[in-house]
Amino acid sequence: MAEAASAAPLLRGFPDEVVIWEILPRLPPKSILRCRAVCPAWRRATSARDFLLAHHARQPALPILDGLNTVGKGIDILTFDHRSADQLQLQSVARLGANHHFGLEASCDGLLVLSIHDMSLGFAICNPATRQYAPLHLLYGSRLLGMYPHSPTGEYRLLLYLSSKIMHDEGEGASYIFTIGSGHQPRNIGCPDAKALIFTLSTLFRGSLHWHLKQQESASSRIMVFDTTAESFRQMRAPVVRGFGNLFEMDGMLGLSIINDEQTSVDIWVMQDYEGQVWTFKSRVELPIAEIRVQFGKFVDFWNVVAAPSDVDVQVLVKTDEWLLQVDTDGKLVASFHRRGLNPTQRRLKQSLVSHTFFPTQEGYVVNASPFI
Amino acid sequence: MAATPADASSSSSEAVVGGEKSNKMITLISSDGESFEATEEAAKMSVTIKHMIEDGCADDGIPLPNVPAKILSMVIEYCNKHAADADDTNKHVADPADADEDDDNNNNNASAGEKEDLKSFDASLVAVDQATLFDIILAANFLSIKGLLDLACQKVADDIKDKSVEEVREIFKIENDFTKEEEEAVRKENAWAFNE
Repeated sequence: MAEAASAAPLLRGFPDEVVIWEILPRLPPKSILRCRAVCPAWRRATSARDFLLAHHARQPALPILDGLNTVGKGIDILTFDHRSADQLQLQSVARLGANHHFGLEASCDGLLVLSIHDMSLGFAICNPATRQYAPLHLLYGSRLLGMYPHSPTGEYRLLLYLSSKIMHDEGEGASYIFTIGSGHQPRNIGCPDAKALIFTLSTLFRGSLHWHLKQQESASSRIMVFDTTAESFRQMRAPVVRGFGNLFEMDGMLGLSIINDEQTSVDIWVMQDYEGQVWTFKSRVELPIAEIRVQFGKFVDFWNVVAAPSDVDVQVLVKTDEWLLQVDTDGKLVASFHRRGLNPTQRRLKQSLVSHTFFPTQEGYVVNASPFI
Repeated sequence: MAATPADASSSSSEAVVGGEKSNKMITLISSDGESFEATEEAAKMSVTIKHMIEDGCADDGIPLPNVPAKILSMVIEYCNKHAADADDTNKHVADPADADEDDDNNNNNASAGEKEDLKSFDASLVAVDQATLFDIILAANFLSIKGLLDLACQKVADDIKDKSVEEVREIFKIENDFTKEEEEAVRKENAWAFNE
């Protein structure tokens, strides 16, 4: 902890512990970085690992949107905070420029895994708050199923699926675990059925990755769970619903948002009893279709509805050609953003300034340089 | 179920049955000797005071040598407002899994107005000069009133989050004891944070 005796207080007349644990953690990452230039005591306080972990814990987990760069390449990473003042709700967190597009593949503890859409079809990992970026050397054809921190070791790991063709193997493909920064090849853990998870978003909850799988045309669905410590899969009960569901964490509970086929309403379910696998219907958000059509004129045939959970509730984002609309939990249209190419990603970013030992060890590692703009 | 109001003569070491709202008044004494009255319910928003009441140390009033009168009255105002709100919340929490939409919406509408009220109350409470704001934080910290500590600390954070380094030093009267080279190195390391 801080060596209080020798150092001057951070704020005169104020206990350091209040500054360090109650005030500073509430500042956004950029402010913290500026605080480091105030004086040596502030630099020490805002660089300590314990502090950065507490700071990360306090950050809101905000829905991420991907915005097309004006040239249509690279990626613009934005977050949406519905509690901010008007027009400050959409914030650009980082912009990356390249000759190709990036895809957002995973978000975990402030780290983003991106897929590279060029000939290499490679991957990269970056932290937009610290502007660190490094290519990930995964085998061509690897499919990313999920990312998680491995608590016993503190390492960050990727759950991958590789087909047998890629591995020059007989038989089925398999799941693999890749530890970022280890320098080792991905480790085969079997589980060929994980192939079914490829196009589904994973959600980390209570140390396990969860995926909601819809069964074809029927109303039944199930939840696949990967225990990241035992490294094994199991199934959990899902509510009986129609439509495509997305799992999320809110208020310490696992939630599921389902958008109906017509994309006119969003049902929110919550797992109030995780051990007992009991799901409870929480609410339905009916989109104000009529109002949207009136206000936004030319009704686009295609629109994309995404549930955007925050730490406290679920807002609904409706993306049309030219607009991003925000509907609140009562089905009221509360905000609109006129911008082409904004794509809600279903993922969330909880920013972090914590440093990770794996970054500098990666070949091609850069800080505050291209591809960051 | 409510106890007879302001029964100040009753023994304060009587245990209050869980859930029963006591209308007993507690006396709080500021550092400059002023006495303030607060309901036990409001006073117990301070975990520090709650423990003192439960330990039976509250009989002759609770001296608070760290909290001046001006600040104590604001703290009590906060506790009064929020103790009442906590009460309402408890009433609504009765059926969290209530799938009856109409009922849910009505409950939400009723408390939405109250929530707005509370929000503006909170905002005006901390719209004060820096010295007072710091005193509120110190008091909330000492008295262990989490909600007030969060509120006041968030205000300080909001005030400084968009400020430049120079402005932060100015506001808090912090001496810049960096050497020129050291400061330049820090700024360079995270250059993008200093651009605006």
